Amino acid sequence: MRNLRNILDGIAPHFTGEGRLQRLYPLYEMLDTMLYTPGEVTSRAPHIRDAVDMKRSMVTVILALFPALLFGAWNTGHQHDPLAGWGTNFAVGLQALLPVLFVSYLVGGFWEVLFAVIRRHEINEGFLVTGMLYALILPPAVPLWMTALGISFGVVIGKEVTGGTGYNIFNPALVARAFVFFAYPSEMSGDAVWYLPDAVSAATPLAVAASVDGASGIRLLGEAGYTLQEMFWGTVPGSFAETSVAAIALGAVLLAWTKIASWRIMAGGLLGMSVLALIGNAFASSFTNPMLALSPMHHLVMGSFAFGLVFMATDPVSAAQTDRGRWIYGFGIGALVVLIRVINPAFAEGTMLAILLGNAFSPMIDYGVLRANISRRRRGYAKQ
Amino acid sequence: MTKKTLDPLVGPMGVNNPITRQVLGICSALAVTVKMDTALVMSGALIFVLVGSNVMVSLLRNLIPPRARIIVMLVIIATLVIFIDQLLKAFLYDISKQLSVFVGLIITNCIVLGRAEAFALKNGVGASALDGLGNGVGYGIILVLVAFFRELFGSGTFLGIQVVPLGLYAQHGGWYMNNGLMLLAPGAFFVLGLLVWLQRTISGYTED
Amino acid sequence: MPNSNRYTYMFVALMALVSALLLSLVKTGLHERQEFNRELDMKKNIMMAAGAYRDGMSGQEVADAFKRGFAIKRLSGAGRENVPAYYVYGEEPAPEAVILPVDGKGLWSTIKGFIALESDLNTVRGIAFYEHAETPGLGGEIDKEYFTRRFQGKKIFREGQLVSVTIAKGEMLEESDYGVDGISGASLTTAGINRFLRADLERFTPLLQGRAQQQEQR
Repeated sequence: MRNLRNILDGIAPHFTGEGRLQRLYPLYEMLDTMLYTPGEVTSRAPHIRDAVDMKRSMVTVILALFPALLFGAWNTGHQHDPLAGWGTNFAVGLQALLPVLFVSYLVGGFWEVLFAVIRRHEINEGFLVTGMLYALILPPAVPLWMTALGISFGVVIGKEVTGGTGYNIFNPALVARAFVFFAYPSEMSGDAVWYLPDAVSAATPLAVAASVDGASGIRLLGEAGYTLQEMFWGTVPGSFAETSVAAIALGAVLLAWTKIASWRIMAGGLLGMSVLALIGNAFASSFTNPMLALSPMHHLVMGSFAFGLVFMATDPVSAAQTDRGRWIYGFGIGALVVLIRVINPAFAEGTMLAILLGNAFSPMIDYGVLRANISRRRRGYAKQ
Repeated sequence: MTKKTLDPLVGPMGVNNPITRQVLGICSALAVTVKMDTALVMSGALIFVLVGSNVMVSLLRNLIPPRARIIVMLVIIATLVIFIDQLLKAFLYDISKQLSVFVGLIITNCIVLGRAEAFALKNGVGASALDGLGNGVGYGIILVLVAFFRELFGSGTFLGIQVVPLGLYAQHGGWYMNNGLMLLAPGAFFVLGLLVWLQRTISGYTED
Repeated sequence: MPNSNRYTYMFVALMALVSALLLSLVKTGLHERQEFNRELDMKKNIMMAAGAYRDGMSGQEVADAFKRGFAIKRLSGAGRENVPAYYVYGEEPAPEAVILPVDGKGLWSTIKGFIALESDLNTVRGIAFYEHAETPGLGGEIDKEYFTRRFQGKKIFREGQLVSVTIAKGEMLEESDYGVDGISGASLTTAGINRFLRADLERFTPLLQGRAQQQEQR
């Protein structure tokens, strides 16, 4: 341990002050703070003690993602060959996931380092989470070069252009995902992409529920063999980690309990989704749209709603910052997801778009909440 | 000709570009830049209208009644635009179909009315013509640049000629696919944004 | 002077007059050419549907070929507005092909096309979609040759009943004379086509059946 510290201290002069490698200081700093807790302390008030720093919160998110990731790896293999044993499934799934993850980190990391060096700031560990989230919402058969392009777009235009970590308007992983969705639609939609190549493909639950006009979405799901239990546990086709609500729920509990993700956003989302779904249910018999019949429970377990709500909508920078605003923001996202899924025929899944739109509105929501606060207090003072 | 005389011509072609610096006339930049041939024709049409309107407004600048000057300028611009639109429909029908309403929308292109108001009303015919030409060419450069990238990445072609080898495509056994986002308007936004970013980084210009 | 009301009115009026005059001259002068272009475009597409168009044909060649080989007919329906025209390729009374215009709502736009039927008025000779704004790469693929080629040889009538040609979602489950493979990711566009193709063919069915009867009688 001592030796490592000595080595790091030894090479420090190259990277600081007049050292030749001074421009690459961010790289050195990243390594140093990854291995050892940063030694800096505050020099002036306010002094705040906290056990949780950026790195710890990021690591917690990654931990929270693990159940979904592990299940997703197994599920990818399982969808590929339903008869194989669970060891084989894991192997097959990991074989598909790890390269995508690797490319996501490598390429995205390259851009992070580049911008850190050019703009002279430290490398932010936020990317640890973005890189993993992005990989987990891609379809299993995604070509690696598309992965690379997507994460480049997400990091550069989704984050760096607006000012870097802490300043991003949109969730960078979602921006990356949206890019590949619109740029290469044939690899991102349809039935076959949710399986590894050479598998027998069937339609995903969302596609099934929308397929026949005039029928009930619930009946269609039943006919296709998708039960609520199956969709809850996650043995259905989908992107790498979105299918198992059970696994996601574990992560949600961890995140909410450690206060790293706002439970208000999650609750608001569930509420918004439920309200809109119930409204749709009320109209189900008057229209031929099969998706109107889907209950809130269905919406929760189908598609990427759960994953998006827990891991992407809660990204602290792009979400609303005020408590009341978080309820509104979450509600809006939940409602919008149902709206897009049910009413818009061109998009089977609405989560990605709903969250991006929510991101765009969150500053306005916060502003509104603050102004309402201010005027309420003014009236209170006026009364005195 | 002195450098000063050529300023109105050269300025907008580089640092003072109407699209990247003054951020004018973007809407058509988005729509017609899917392919390079439409971008070229659109640029040509705009240069024609811009020079024509600048010259006419400059010629009439002492005669135009001040209270009706916007209307008069609009009539001049509209006449020129309709004229070129009809010409296109007659002689370049296929491209005109692809350009559809956007040639007509040159009337609303802020560059034209903007230059007429800001320059042609107060300057001589020669300078106004140069100003029109400079701004038109500056606009055209950006249009063609955006179209170049959009066509290359969105369709794999250059001026209609296939440059990405067909064998590389997934449909033909390879792995490559054209970027669908480049064919949609937001794709143009991103390319344009990156161009503005590039230009301002090089010239060091920042908004206040 | 330029500030007075009288001057203003007169100037603007004069301006309007000059402009209107100029533009009317231009329009009258160019009108014929424009009409020619417009019709040429349509003719080219009709010929493409009927398989009579070869790449690189010049405008004049298309016009000539069309005049020689095609005739424009109208559905009889005395006094009705918007009576659709259809086209006949070859000599009456037994032409090589009959070409019908079809159009309707896709996903994002109105799709316009032509479907050409062989002399038996049942087998599809070809289909062409010449105007649409569907998603590039997905629904937009409907104008590509690899897709329209699938329609050749398919039939629209089964035992005297109109069934039209249906584009499947993805690959067809089994071979059929009445269906073609679809395009992955374009299910909504193709669903739209299925709908309006059928509707338009239904509209032309009396004509087709009438012609078929006439041909039999000879």
